[in-house]
Amino acid sequence: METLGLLAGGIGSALSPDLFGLCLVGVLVGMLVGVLPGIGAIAAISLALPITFHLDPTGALVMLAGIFYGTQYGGSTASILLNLPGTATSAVTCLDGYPLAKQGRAGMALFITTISSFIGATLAIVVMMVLTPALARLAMSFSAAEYFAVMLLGLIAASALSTGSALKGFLMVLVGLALGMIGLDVNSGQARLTFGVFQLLDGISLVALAMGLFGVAEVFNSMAHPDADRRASRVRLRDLIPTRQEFRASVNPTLRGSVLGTVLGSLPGMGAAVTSFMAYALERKISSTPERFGKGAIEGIAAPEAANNATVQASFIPTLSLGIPGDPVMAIMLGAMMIHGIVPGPRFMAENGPMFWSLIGSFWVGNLLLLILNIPLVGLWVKVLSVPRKVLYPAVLFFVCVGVYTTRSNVFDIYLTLGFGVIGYLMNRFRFPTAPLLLGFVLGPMMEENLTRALVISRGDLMVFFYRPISAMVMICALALLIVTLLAPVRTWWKGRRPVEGAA
Amino acid sequence: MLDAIKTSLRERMASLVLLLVGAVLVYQGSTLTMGTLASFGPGLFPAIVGAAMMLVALALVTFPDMPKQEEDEEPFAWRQMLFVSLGMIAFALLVRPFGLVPATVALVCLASCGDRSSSPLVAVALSVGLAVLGVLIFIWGLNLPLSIVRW
Repeated sequence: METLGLLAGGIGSALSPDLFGLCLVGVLVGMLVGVLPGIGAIAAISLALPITFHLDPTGALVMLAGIFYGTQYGGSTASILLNLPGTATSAVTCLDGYPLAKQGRAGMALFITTISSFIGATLAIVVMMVLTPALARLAMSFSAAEYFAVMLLGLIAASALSTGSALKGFLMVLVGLALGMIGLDVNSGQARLTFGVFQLLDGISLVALAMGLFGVAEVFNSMAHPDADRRASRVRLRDLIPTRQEFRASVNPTLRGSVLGTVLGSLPGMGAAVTSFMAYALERKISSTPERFGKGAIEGIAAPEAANNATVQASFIPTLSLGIPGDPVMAIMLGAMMIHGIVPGPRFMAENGPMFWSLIGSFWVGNLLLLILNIPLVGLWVKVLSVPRKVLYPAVLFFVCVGVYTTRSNVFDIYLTLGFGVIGYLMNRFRFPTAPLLLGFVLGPMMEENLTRALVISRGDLMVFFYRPISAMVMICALALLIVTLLAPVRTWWKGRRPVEGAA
Repeated sequence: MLDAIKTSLRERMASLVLLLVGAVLVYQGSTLTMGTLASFGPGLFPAIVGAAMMLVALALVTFPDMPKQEEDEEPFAWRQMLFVSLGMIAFALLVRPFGLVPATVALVCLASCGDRSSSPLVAVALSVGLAVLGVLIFIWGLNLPLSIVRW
């Protein structure tokens, strides 16, 4: 009952003109960015970050969060209509969404994904309302050892579960940790890894790193591609309504996707791109007619869209209750909170209760707005997609440059952004994932601090991580995942050479 | 077959670079106070991370990550990179002494040279449009510490 009262207060404040306006701007920007291929939630949020410095902290969070979940709705639009994944998290929606559009069922597909997105988000927000305060209370008893263990698990999970080679993901986490060390060491006051460059004493700016890796690198990549054929199927109002059979076919997958996305999304390290793929794989596995997948199966769009929206909302749970971001977007949100002087973590709920509930309220308001606006705005997004790249990418660069420069009024950060753009482009070419790097960068300083603190208390005894039950459990999960990950390439290599021997 | 050898060589080279980065990290850590496990010096964490990097990179040099299916090799975006870099450097050089408008015009015009589908007319029109937008949003709207034009 108490929760409902707090929620009512939160929704009330989210409906105040200021917050409602920011929420609306956030979800609209999010949808726009979600539709545009190449520019994902990370780039959009880092672009918006400098602007939110001028808002009050609640407003800033409401708007940034709106961008984040708005992209999930927009992403499916581009996937279904154009077979272009607007965001990585809706890539899997292309598989069945585009065939449906070719069969003239685009309107229905958009309708189903909008509804299942909303249901996925709803479930995750409800879980978040219950779990976040409970987890925060539990975390009050956490010592440095528990924090270190959870962060370690998050980083290992993020690299092991990223698409592509897990070893590469792990290597990129380590590079991120290294980048996070650059600058003055807080404990000793000594300069670390600055190589004599005095501009690096303050450390690398999160905005420069994120904009370089996710903005500039993508511009290099996209500018080299010719404009894709972006003729979308027309969507008419009467095509929207699914048949009774289509509706029935989407109910259970939506629920399964929502549960999967919520449960996995609340774990640190699980991104929406992973959970949407898992939801798709699950549906195909349990389907009695798996051959329909890839040819326009309703289950193939309903489940992943429910899952990715649930994951996006659920990823706020570890960030707000423990202060540990589970994915790179949350890492940037965490950075934004710290810039506003809010320290996320167990004390956040106690000290900033009204802010938490306003944020939750804005999630309800924002998702309702998306539910209402998603389909009417499809026509607009299709027009946006026809903006040629010769206009789009210079404009992106302009916003990147102004945003990076004004964050710290520092010209050096523009050069850093460019450098990270080049590195990001090379990483993409060599299939090194960029997301784990960003996560490592944000978590690195916190990890070092907690590791140091835990070992000071235990006088250097490494077993300190295994003495307390929660820490021990998390640590064992993390190490098991690490061992499995590290052994995977050896196994494939071993499997790969056996048939060759047999043939010879 | 030849392509596979080329790819594996390139993969190994990339991992080798990261092995070197790890080594640099360990070396840098060793130049700082290492301390003990009970009292971390500033050099210990870099050294640990660097050593882990070297291990993982070594694993990747030994077992290179090969793409599952042969992808079409896209040409390296030299041209785009060159002109975008020139544009961003120009922006960085111009924004403080000369203001937002000249920096924007230089950035957009130079970056557009990297796009074959663009033309001088488009680039100039776009740069003027973005400069106006920038003044409206960032200077008048958000009061950011930028000057419009100065010399």
